[in-house]
Amino acid sequence: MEASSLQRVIEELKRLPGIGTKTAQRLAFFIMKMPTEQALGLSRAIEELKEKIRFCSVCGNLSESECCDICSNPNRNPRLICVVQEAMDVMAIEKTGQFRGRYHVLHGALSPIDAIGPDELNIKTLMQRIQQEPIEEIILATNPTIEGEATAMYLAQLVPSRSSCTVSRIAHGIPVGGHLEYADEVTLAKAMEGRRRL
Amino acid sequence: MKIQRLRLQDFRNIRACDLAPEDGINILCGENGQGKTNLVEAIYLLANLSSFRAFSNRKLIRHGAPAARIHGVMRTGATEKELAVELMPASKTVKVNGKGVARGVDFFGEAAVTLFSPETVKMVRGAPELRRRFLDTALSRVDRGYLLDLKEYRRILEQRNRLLRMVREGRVSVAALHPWTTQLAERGGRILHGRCRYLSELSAVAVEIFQQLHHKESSLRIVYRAALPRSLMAGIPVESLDTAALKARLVDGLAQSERLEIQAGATRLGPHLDDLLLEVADRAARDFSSQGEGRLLALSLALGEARLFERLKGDRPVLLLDDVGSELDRRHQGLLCEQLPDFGQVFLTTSERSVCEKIPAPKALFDVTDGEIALVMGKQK
Ligand SMILES: Nc1ncnc2c1ncn2[C@@H]1O[C@H](COP(=O)(O)OP(=O)(O)OP(=O)(O)O)[C@@H](O)[C@H]1O
Ligand SMILES: [Mg+2]
Ligand SMILES: [Zn+2]
Repeated sequence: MEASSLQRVIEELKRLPGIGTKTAQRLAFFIMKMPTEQALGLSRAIEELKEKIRFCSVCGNLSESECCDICSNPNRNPRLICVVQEAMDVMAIEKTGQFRGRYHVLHGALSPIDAIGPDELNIKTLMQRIQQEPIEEIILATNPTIEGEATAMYLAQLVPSRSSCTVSRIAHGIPVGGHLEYADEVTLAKAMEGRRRL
Repeated sequence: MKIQRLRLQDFRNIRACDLAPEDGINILCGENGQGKTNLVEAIYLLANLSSFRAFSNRKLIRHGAPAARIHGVMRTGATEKELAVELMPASKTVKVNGKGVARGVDFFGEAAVTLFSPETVKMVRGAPELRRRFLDTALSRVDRGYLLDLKEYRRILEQRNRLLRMVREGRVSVAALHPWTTQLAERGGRILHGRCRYLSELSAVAVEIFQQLHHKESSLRIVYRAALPRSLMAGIPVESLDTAALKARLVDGLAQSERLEIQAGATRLGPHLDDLLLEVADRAARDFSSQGEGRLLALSLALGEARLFERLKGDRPVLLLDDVGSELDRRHQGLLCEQLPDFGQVFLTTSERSVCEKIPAPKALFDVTDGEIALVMGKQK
């Protein structure tokens, strides 16, 4: 049997984070045995995702249109902005239901050894927003890792000191070395309340 | 802590062994190249998850075997725990009481073991890195926070060095250094403070042991040498500063050398460049100690580490003494043997039967020949 199409699925799956050869093989076999309708459903969902979802031009969050639901919601506080590493972090904070401001997604953290410098992150638009929007407080909610901490410190020094904008960093409850997306909702809500000024 | 039972399978030249070591002194006697150090290495590995003389698992697995296994039943007071390490060519699995442990740092500290081996002696005359490594390992065993700081420090250092090169190439601005410098200095201040505090205690114990082992009035002195610019220290000894003051010195020092660091593409000061000065009778042991003196000095540090562990953690570590008697004359061998009953469980290797006779009240004697370990004297279990 010519199994090159199976091999191709395995290779594609291996690109996903946390998936090695063994897991990729298992998943590929599983997909092969799935009812056709289900398997095609998966492939269509992926297609639709790539066609419809993009990054919000204002904040970098996931969006189905030019501007995301949060940025275009007039009930969200435009004076408060929460900076996070990934769109996943927005979802995690949204689940707490405590935060009524807006977001800014960096799409990563500074990491010289991975060749990620300020230019590789969504920082320029953040600086534009600080100048153009009526922002009064920026909450830096990057991960409490070495890289997340460095990113927060870097951003804090970028905000012009003459601006009327205060910068704070979420502090409580998040274990060092941890990631926001894994923090539970209560911890995350407390972390927001307990933010400290930078 | 003591090892109640030790089982090995396909570790180095040891095909299989099952030992029930005694609480006091256990002697491993055998000719050269028979497997004495291999056994010591296995015990060390059970505590540290890495060897003191090999970097790849492949070397540790018996030639022709698929995997090596080390299994120990450890006892502290009334609690017993089982540690198991399985080494495959490219991976290892670690279990505590039958349950898998995902991260190495979670395992570190499960077993309390102090090692002296011919490798330890190298620190007296060798590069500063060997002395730093001794200090870092000893300190990590009693302070988990220190171990975490050290790991983070190394990561920040790697990031910062890469960034220095990016600044040199004009790819990022100098301002991008700041967050890394601040974090480096913060961990660095804590590391410096931890080292100085530990060293003052270790030095008190080691100096005393050195006197007993050497039996001469030639006193030992241990001084921490921080790679900080003299202008910043103004004659203040580094050990008298607290964490915040040390961090501030590092921040200032790093600011002063920023231009040179960008040129060099490397961080030029901090605990990763520090050294220990070992002095015997006011002379640097690095340059002036004899073979035997160097050995006595390294022994004093290792025995001191074991003593201090007991004082700080309330538990006597298992003491591994590999090839401890060689290079020592009869008198110094005797002085060393007199010290041993003051420690808990000891594993001592030797190729000379005569050394065995000097040891007061050994509890068990094992013969090691071609990877076979046989009980010669002691209780059969
Ligand atoms: N992976 C391995 N498989 C089989 N044999 C090995 C392996 N690694 C080392 N050996 C053998 O183990 C022996 C060395 O054992 P070891 O270093 O424990 O000797 P020793 O008894 O401490 O000797 P000495 O008194 O010279 O220090 C050597 O003969 C070496 O070839
Ligand atoms: Mg040996
Ligand atoms: Zn948006």
